[in-house]
Amino acid sequence: MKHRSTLAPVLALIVLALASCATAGPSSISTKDLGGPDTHTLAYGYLGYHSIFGKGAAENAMFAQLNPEHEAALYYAVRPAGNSGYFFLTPQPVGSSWKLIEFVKRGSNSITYYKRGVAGKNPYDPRMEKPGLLYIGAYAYGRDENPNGTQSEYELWDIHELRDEGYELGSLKALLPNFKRTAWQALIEARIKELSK
Amino acid sequence: MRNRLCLAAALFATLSLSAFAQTKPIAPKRNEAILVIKVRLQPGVQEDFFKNYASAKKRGETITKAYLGIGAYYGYMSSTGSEIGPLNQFGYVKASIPKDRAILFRSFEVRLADHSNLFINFPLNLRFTVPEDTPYVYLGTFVYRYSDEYFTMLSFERVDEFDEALAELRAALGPSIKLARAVFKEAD
Repeated sequence: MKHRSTLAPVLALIVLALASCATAGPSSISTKDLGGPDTHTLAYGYLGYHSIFGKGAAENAMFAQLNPEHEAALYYAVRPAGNSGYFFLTPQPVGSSWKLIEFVKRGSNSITYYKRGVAGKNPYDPRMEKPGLLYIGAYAYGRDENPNGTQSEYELWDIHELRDEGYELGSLKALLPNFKRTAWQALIEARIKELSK
Repeated sequence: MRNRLCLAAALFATLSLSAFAQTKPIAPKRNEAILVIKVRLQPGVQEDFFKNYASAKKRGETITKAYLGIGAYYGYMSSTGSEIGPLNQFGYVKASIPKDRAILFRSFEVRLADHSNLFINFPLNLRFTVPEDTPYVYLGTFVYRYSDEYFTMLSFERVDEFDEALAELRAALGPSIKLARAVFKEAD
């Protein structure tokens, strides 16, 4: 009995250690029952975590659907190219409104959860207004590299838009394999061609 | 080691400010204050929609609630999760009174469907003092008006419903109850 009571915390630690190795979000989707480009919006972009130690992905980016006329849903962004930072949301019906409510920064020996709440529409919170492709943009959490002089040191640390360095092309190329042989394929390929010119 | 642990426990006990919530008026114990506050969102929250975010087990009883973030002004610990209760009604939060009677009213938070991820946070960073003559302090009625599904702010104001709060307190606890309006100062 005594043994069992000392084992419990050890087991709990092992479970915790294993849990920290769990996936950082889905990397592919099922194309079964996928909404088509005539009624749905495929939103994609780049979400990173940039610091002086390097550039990584913001992991486990969780989006919540906030429009009461559509289904209530929490989705992890799909990461088609692992830790590259490229992500997309499974095509969602036009009219639905999505908000980034949480993401994770995974360090070598720590995990930080960033909880963002539901209030306020940021540019990286996609509202599906038109069917087809929607490039959300490229953003990274970190210190603002182009401060406007009015922010406090605390406010400088947030999600900031990045200068375009081929992020749209990169994310399209990464997500294309997920949409092979679907109605989306032609649309994605056309946009890749346009951006590659 | 043991001494250190004891010291840590003693520090924790003196610095932390415990707080408990009630939706009905309650009488404080010795050295306790009752903080009265109401939070309102306009338009009202579509509970039928947001309760779908609650776990299936809890879905029936889930409702949006507000939480108070307070602490002793000269303390190191502050609570983020003292429950005020459902929106649109007075909540009664018990809080122990620090030696100097100064309390930091850091923020309050609305959690849709009582879901810890679906929150709207209202940072305030105010301080007030619990008066000597009554432990009942009315913090105010806070009204947040918003325009769209992203809860984009239109206005945020503190409305005075002191008379209603006092009437509810006296109806429950007797006509001799005194209620004080919190006088806020910006915290350093």
